[in-house]
Amino acid sequence: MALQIANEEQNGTTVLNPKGDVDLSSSPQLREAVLKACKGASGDVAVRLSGVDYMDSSGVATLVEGLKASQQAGKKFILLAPSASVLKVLQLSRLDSVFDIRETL
Amino acid sequence: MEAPHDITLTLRSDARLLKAVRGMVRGFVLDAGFSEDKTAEIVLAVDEACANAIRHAYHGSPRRPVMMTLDQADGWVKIEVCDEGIPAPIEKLQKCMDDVGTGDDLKPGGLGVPLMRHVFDEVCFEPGVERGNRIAMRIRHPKKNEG
Repeated sequence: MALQIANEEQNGTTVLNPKGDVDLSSSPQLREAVLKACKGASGDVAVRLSGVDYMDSSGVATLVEGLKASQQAGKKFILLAPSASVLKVLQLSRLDSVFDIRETL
Repeated sequence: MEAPHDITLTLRSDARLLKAVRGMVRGFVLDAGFSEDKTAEIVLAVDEACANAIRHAYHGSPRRPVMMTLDQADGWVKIEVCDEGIPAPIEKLQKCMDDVGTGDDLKPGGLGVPLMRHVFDEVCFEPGVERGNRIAMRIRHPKKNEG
């Protein structure tokens, strides 16, 4: 199943809800959605990662890009409820401490 | 004649096929006796090796060959990934290998090679002189570690 990404607004924060695997074939789709939200949204940006079953380093790189774009725009970039596999790749990349990771907004 | 590998696979360099490869590697590694947790790490590292071939050696061209072999032998699980694309620059590889990733220098690229090195006991990168790359990864068999 291809990656599906739904958007919602929650207390002024744009929340992206990707569902599926984020790998080399699908990370460009997530990148486009993340950068669009970081540059276009008026408030903070969050990515809910509970529906991501698998993420590779291209997905992690996408999240790093989102963090940097948000910082440049003066916004918060939040990772919500990462699945165990996503948390694992963030930890293996030693980037888990770089992100604002929360269970809920 | 040399004995065949446990699994020999040639994958077309299409990133959409990586999910199927992950499933195959997962089955092989789980069957070898690794835990779910370690299996997930190994699957990730092998996926990174294949993705490197597609992205860097072939620059995303989807019709080139990526060759894989998987073996259990002599107390090790060995996985090799080879391509016929542009050899990785040695200096870039070395920089990726030295960069263990502390999060201090935040950048979006170069995460795959450190991941492979973290997961496997040994990783050997062999860029060809004129073309191609070979990544040989091996990890001690968990059942051998128990004794």
